[in-house]
Amino acid sequence: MAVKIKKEIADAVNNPDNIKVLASIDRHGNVHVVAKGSITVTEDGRIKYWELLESSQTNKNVTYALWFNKEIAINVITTDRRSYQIKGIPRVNLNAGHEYEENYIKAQEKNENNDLAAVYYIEPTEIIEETYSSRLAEETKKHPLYMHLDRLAKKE
Amino acid sequence: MSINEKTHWREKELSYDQVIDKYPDIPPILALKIDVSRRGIAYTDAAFAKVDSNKHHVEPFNYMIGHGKQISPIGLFLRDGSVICQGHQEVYDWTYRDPYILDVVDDKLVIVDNDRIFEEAKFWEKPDFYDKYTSNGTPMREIASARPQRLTIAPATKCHFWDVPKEGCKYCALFSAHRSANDEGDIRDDKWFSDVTETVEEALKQKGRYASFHMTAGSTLSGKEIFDDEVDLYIKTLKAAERVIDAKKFPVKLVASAFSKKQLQRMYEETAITTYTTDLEVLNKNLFGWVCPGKNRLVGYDEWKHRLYDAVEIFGRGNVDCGIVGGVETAQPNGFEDEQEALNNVLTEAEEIASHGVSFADCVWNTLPGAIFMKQKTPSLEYYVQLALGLAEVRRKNGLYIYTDDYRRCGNHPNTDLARID
Ligand code: SF4
Repeated sequence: MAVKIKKEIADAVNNPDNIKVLASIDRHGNVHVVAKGSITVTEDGRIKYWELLESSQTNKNVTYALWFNKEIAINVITTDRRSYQIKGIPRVNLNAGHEYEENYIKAQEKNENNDLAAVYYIEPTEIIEETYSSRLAEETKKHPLYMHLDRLAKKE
Repeated sequence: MSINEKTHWREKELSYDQVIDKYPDIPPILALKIDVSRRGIAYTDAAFAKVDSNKHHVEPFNYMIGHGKQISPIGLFLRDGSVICQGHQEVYDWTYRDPYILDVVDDKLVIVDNDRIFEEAKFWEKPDFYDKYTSNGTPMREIASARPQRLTIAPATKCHFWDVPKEGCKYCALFSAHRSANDEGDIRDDKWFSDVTETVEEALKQKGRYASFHMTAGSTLSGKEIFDDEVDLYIKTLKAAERVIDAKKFPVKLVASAFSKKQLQRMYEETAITTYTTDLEVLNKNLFGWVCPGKNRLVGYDEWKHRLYDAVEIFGRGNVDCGIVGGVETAQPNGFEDEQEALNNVLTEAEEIASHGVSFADCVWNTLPGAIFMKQKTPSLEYYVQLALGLAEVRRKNGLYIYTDDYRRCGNHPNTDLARID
């Protein structure tokens, strides 16, 4: 089921200075992860990205996910070291028509060597705050026994 | 009385849902595309009301077939970026199955069957060149047509296999407006070639629209050697296009007759082409003779195959495709009555041909008005799904690619759609 992306996270995704990666699996279950600078959150709350390489493994995997209702995952790492994971199901591969052509022209404005295989739209299904300090606090609260004893030794 | 009440076809074959459950490797949206291609799709009045001829690609008739009453869009877009290459189909009382319905729900175009909504769809968009004219005053839409990502030119609108009555392929409705022996089809003079140059130049101003240049035509048998004049026509047409394209080689999808090695060599050396498709149509020697009598008499099944293999020597493994009309091997009275037997036959022969470096482009056989086979019964959805999966596996096993007959540069072949995730 679709979930709403909070403004703080959408801003993080839409900030071009932040690093964004996309992880997907192929039809045999092999994992693949790549950086995707074009990932953004649209006004209607979907994830959008440009797939520039038609024959890339990511293009195949995202099509696979679209066809068989599987999740892909993205992670955004901000310049101040926050990290958010968004899982989602690709719903649309837009590869022709005027809306696609507008994106194609913008992709070429960025780099004249760019082609554009497709614009993908992904419906977010789960959002996990992955910033280390938040995750540490969360997991320590849930599983306080998971730690090495030396960390509890009395300090001299 | 509905078609189903007459034929009870729904009770005699697996439903869409049963097929999806039984074959988990078929993407449900691709199974839908296959089924719509098999059964056709009829537009409701509400769907027709959504057609905007300024925005959508409509034709006063199916440009390849050349008859029909209604102005209709010629294809649909699905959300996975694949296409259905069919416009509105009239509901004829002689068809065996009811077509799908294109309707409007919540202001969206949707594909419906038995009151169930399957997918949202969009009409193909009109090419920007469509309302323009060449300097000769020719409407550019009469020079070229398009799919969402390919530009199409048909250099000859007559297929001369029909010169001898009933020698054309029995499932074929292409160019059926030009079948009488004294009809030469549309004229291709110097004016036409200059119109081609101008139309291609104009089309390429639409950035991002075309991923391939497609040429196909009816077969031209004349020349010193059979098909020599057809080769000349393709070369001249390509040269007219090449005048405005700054590359020696570019993506050209050529679907043509089975040319000799000498003819293919010429095409390869003199034009931009790097891939080539020629269609055996039905992968069975005996049925080929019955279904494609002209091709059989003038070239023959074994020679057609040979020419495919010769083409691999010129273009390389995986750059030569063989088109087939999947399902026509079950046409009666001479075709296979048992679908499993038909499938085994087709896939065994496909395996042999693919081992020589030839890929397949499988069209879904649909019975169209204008075809000798128009009142035949096509096979079940299960058959078409097994065929698409089987042919995809044959290609994978033989390490072959699919380029200009793929989901994007063509879009009409379920088995090549599957290559998207290989
Ligand atoms: S060769 Fe056969 S399929 Fe092609 S146009 Fe002629 S009759 Fe039709």
